[in-house]
Amino acid sequence: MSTLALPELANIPFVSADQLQPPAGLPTGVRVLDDFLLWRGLPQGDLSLLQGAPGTGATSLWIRIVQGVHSQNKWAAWINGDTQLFPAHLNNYKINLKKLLVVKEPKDQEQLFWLLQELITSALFEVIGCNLKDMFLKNHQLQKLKRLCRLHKVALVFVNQKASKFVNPLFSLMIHFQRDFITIQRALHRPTPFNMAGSMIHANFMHQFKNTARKLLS
Amino acid sequence: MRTLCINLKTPQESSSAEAFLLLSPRVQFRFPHFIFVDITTTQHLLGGELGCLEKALEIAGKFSADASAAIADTAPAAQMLAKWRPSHVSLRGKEQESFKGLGLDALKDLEGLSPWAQKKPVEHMIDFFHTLGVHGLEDVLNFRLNSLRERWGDFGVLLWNRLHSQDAQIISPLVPRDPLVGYGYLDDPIGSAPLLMARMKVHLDTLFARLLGLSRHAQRLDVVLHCEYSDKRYSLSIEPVSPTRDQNLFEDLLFKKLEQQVLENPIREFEISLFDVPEKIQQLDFFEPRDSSEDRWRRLISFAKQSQCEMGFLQMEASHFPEQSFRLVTDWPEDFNPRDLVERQDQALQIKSVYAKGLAESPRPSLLLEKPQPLSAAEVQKLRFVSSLPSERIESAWWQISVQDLKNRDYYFALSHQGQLLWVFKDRINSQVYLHGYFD
Amino acid sequence: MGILTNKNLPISPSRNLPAKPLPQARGFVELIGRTNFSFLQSASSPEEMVEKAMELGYNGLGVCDLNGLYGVVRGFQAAQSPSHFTTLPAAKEDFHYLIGTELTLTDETSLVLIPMNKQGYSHLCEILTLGKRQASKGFSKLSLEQIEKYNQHLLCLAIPPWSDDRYERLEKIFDNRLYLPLWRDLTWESHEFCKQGFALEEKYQAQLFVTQRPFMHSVERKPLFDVVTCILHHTTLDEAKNKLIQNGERCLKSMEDISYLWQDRLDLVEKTVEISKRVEFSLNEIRYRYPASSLPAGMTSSELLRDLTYKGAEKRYAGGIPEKVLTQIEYELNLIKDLQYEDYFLTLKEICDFATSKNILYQGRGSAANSVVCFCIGLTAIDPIQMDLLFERFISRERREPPDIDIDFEHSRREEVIQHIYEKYNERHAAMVCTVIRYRSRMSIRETAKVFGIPLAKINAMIKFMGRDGISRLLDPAVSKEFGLNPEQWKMFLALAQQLRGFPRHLGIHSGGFLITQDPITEMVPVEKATMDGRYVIQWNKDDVDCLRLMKIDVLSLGMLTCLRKCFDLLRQHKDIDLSLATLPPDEEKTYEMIGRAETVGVFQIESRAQMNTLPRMKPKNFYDLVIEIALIRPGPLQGGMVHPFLKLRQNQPTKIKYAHPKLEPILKKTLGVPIFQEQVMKMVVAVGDFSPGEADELRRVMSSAWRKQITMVGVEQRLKAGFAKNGISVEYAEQIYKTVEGFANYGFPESHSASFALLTYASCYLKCHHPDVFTCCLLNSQPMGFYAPRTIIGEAQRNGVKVAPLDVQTSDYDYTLEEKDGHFHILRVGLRSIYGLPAPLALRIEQARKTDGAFKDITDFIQRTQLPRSILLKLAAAGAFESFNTNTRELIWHLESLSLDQQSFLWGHPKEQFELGDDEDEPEHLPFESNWDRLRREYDSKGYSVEAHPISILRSYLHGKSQSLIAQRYIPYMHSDDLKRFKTKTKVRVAGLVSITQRPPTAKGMCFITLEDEFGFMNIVIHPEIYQKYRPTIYTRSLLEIQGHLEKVGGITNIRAERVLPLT
Repeated sequence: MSTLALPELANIPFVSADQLQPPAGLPTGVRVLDDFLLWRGLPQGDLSLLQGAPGTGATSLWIRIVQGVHSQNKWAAWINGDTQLFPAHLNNYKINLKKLLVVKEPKDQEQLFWLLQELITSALFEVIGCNLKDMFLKNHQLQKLKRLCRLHKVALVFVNQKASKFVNPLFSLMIHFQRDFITIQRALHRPTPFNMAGSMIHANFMHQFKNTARKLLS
Repeated sequence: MRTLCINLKTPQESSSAEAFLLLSPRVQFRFPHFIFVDITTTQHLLGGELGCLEKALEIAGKFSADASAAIADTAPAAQMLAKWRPSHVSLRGKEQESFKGLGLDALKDLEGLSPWAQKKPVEHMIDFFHTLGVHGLEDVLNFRLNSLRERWGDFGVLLWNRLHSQDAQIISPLVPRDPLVGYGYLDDPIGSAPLLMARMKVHLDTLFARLLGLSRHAQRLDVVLHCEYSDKRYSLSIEPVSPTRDQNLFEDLLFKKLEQQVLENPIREFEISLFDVPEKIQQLDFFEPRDSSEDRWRRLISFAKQSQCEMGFLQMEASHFPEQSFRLVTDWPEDFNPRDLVERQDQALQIKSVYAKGLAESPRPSLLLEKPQPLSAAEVQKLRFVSSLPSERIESAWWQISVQDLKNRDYYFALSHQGQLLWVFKDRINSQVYLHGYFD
Repeated sequence: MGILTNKNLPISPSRNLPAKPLPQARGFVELIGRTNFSFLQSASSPEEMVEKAMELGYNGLGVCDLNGLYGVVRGFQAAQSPSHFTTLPAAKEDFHYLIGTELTLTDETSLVLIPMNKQGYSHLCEILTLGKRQASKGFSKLSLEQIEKYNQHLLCLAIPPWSDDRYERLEKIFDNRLYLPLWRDLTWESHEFCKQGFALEEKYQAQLFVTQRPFMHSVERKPLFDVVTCILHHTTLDEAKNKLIQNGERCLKSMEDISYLWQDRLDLVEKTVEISKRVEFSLNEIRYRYPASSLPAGMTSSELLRDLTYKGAEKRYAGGIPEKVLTQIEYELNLIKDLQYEDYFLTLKEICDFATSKNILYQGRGSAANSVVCFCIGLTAIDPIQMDLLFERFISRERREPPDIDIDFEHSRREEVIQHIYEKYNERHAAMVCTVIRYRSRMSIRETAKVFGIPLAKINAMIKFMGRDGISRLLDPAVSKEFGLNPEQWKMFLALAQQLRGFPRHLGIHSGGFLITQDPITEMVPVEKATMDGRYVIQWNKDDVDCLRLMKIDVLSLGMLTCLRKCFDLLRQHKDIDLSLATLPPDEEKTYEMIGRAETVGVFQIESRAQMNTLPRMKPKNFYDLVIEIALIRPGPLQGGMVHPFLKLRQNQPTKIKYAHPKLEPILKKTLGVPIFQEQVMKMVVAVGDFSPGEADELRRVMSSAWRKQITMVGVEQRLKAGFAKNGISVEYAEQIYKTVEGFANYGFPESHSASFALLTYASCYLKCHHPDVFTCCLLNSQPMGFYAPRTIIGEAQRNGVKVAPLDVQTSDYDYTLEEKDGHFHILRVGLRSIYGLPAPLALRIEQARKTDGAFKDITDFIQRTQLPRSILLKLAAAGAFESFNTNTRELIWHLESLSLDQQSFLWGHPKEQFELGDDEDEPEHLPFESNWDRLRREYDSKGYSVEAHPISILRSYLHGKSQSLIAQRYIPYMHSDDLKRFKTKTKVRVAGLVSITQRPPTAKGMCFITLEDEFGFMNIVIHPEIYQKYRPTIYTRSLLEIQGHLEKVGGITNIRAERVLPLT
């Protein structure tokens, strides 16, 4: 019986140490967050969930990521929930409106799912943000999206206004925004939950507010 | 003069010649299935005569399966060679050499733009040559004109001229007249979308080939499906975001529409009509050449538009009120930075100031509500205002009597109970407090 | 959200009064106030800004317009002497009025400069002149280096946005005179500027201060400000979008608001008072030194004036100077000496000497006529003593107003006088006064409509519909439906249009005002280029110049002076009679008799229809009657209803004249107890209405300025009525007097003014009476002038027996000329200038050609020698100038058409078909015969009149035919003007005639007056408003009318009251 034809030992591609590095994600610009996360930013080709009442800072984190993406001249997309993305806010952040596709609120969940698939498969976008009011997707749909994201190397970020304590394993990164602090509920290979002071995230967020707020208050 | 003749073997309409406009403007169709193209001046554009030949065959492939083509000096010789010596390119000026080895029956095809009045005289001539023991076409070349004239009169003279490439036939430039319409009749009516799509694909190929030839873009594609048993008709209309010649985009959109269409009973016949517009060369941005991403983006937006889902870029507008200061556009947005209008006359200047140019830099929330949402007194009580002085006061549109919208607002920053930073305004007329956006 | 401290804040966002009262700012000065004299960039006038600042209790206000000091004087006037008639809350006594300007530099930054003292002010004027001189109108070219040269004694308020290096550069130039304005007008941009300001304060210890950067005086003006911004940007309100201002906070706010707004930095608010204290400059520091005229050796100007006066007096009063005149001269000379006005008189004397040397006729006018000194040194021609005019009217000690002498020159030669002034004083010392062109009602409607987006067609319809009675006609809402606008928008649109009225649009040149100074003019007022090249204009208009007591000279022009000078020349040349204005025989009986017959066509001032109506009733007998007659038919007396009572008194000459109050007797004695002149009303008001002289003087100023405000007039009315009531004058008499005052406000005549005009009137009447041919010839040579068209003047002359020779190329010059005909009998030869469209140089060429080498042999010779283009030849032929060559004008025109006229071909001047020998004799036959009517039509088209016959005389035969048929049907036949004398009033009349004048004076409440003319004379047609509305199109389109109505004979005047107005043919 002929021996099992094994490939020659020499030409087996052994994995070198640096290849074992985790895939580099999209840097968020917040040093604390970047150092803590595995992918030095948002996972590329994976789902992330930012939870928090509107106005607690979830969208601005996504905007900082898009800022990074646009600095490399790449595309980003955003799906509006009941509130609209306001361009006047964006032009203080060197966001290139020519490279940011905005989609009006989809009518129903099924159309949202179809839309997400189309956006991912079009392989145009590095990061896709989706603002959800309550139309949350079912697990099988999330799995399919996860597979598509991995295939097309797209970072899909859900911004959910209704925070739920249940940690869904499908999301490789979940961040919960509260009043004054931010908890990372789930991050691959990282001890979570991990709390951070809100001001660190907002250190230079809303720069118009930092000192003027003080001015207004006095 | 060099003529390319394409023999499509299956009868076609005269409009199919439009597809070959790609090769040269001088194209002429002759019933039943011959297309003559004068490529003397344009053959160098397509990579020489062989290039023309391949391109012709490739286009002809869309019209009939086994099309053949040949190139010769005159049209009759080109037609004869296309039939008897497919894909043959005769030498320039010496097309008679390529007649070697052809039988006398080839004479029947020596027609060019004007066919033989009747076939009978040709057969008589062939029989007579046979009786003379002449079987090859090159031997016929040796006969002198007078002898053919004595024997067969004008017909003889015409044949001699065509043989010796003396019959001058000019191919005039094609003037497209027929509309871009395709019609299909199904003997066995079809109900399933993929099968219907396959039958329609043939027609789509010819239509888009003609479109390519005319170098025009398709703006809209209308398909009307007639049902078998009832006179019910389904009409589908495909319109991408901007006019394009991208055939598979149209096919995908059509297929998507067909799938959504619930066919009550099978389809007996269908009509396809294509609305074309002149080509609009769109140079988007000098530093950003039209790359494939632009086509992919158009494709995406066309798909979304068809399924009633608004998608586009944010275009900033100059307006006092936040909700009117941006809109969604499907085309590239211009960048917007308002400045004073300065008129210069060799260093002397006159400034006409734009008073509200500071609005573009004022702090705006990242998320804006569709419609400002009135807050109840209790909610307002719960809010904590950053300052009792409004951060901005916007008064405008006092002249629009008819419109009832809010014209006089004082904007504040407020901190809600859950730590949300809100953008709230108080209407100074009905002193009602509204929530307008979140500093998310 | 840790960043926001959670100090609890007052919940209700509206500004309610917090528990403990906020600290109030002790004082505040608004340093950068902008008025509507920065054209189209502000919504309030200087007066409104100052009054509002006073009302709000500010410590002061700075008026800083864009690139100019246009509105500062008006603000100064409002601040210095608030009008007596408008009630104002007591302003702070030390209300500090500052002036300055906001300059836009070439690097698109702007800064405000405020002069600290007189030297600073002249530096500022220098900078402004520099900026304006290199740039065309509306532009300014200034860089920081240019300002650096003149930066001493100037406060600099740098307008944000600031950058560090900009601040350092400014600080290097201005060091402690540099301040940075901060404002909070509830826009985020102001927040950012405040942030920058505080950062600079920390880094460089910059001096900050608070302003409101006001564009308007109160919030209600925001709509008007938006409209003005749209006009500036030529867009409509909907498209303006971010060009409009964000909110209405850019206005003057109360002290509480300011203190609340700046509760955290009240020191900055009080800083403004400290800054304003650094400024000591006020506009009345501008010392005006009059250029010292060239004095003969060893004489001071007052001695020179004295001896000139006495020399003149001997000349004026040939038979010894009467005692009264001597005392008056001494009195006047002493007064002039104290007020140091000698140089002013000497300069004027110098200009008048220049005029007499150049044989330019001139005459002083206005209040100067009251002074004996002016009369003696020859500035004016009226002897004030004889007319016992009031010298105080000219120069009064307590009023301290400079003398205002206007001098009229011949309008054709006034340019020479102006050039002379420019050469003598070069533009460093002389510049013209500007006028402020404002939005009149028609233009404000058009602009506001464009801004509201009303289509152009509707705008024109609106303005046409508005006619002459201004905005009032559009006010009722029913009109809005007709123009398809909803009523509220229509109301708003009209309110804004009315507010826009009176806003300055741009600067124009005053017709004659000159400002001459000893030291360079740019030290006193900025000068800028006017649209007309070579002319420089100062940035203040004549009211500003008067208010600051600067002396200006008015160089005006009168057409009649040109005509009189030509008359004197012709008289000297033809009839060798040497006459001049001064040597005319006074009170010549025959002239007054002619005036009484109202044959005053073409005469100065009293030729209008209304005057002709009153002359027969007035029958002026002496010079003073003429003075009254001129001042009588004016809106003042007309509206006051003074004319008819005066005429009635005049006619029946009552011995005892009753006066409303014994004190009025001395004032009104000369005008039979009826106030006619402006001075009389002024004196009455002081004597009986217990006005103070200051109030009376302000009343005079209000009466003469066209842009007075409504509230001042209301104030005047109450004051007047109260005064009269106190002195027991009856209410309706007081009402009448107020109506006169209001009428005078439109156009009133002071006595001295009408006196100097009366002299010219008398001169022209005398000449018309004794030398009609000379008078008509000169009148036609100085057209366009006066009231009537050339054809009426010639018609009148023919009726006075002047022979008129038709136009003829062989004899006519460019001007009308007189030709000697058998002895002294003269014929008036029509001049080439009468032809429409014939340019003067070409006409002079004809005259030259004829003078150099004799008369023209025939038409071709004429053409070859004058080389005129074909169109001119046709015009000459049509006007009948070639009669001497070929009587049949039509054939001549046909012949001219056939000539080949390009100069090169040798066939030039000869018929083209010279060589085709075809016989063309039969050609003239087929030309249709030219009837009289066609001939007349041709002459009227070419030169506007026909010498041979009057159109109606040609139509007379046609009219006779028609009236026969009318009589057959028992209608009234046609009559001509002579018949009217025979009929008595109320008889029905049908008349036909050529329309010479149509008049619809605004004061006549819609009545329309037409003067119809036929070959025998004039007929006055009176049309009442309802008939006028019915036949309005016919009146305005037809020139030949048929009037049916009935006769009205009142006191020697015959009018026809029209019932139906029909086109004649």
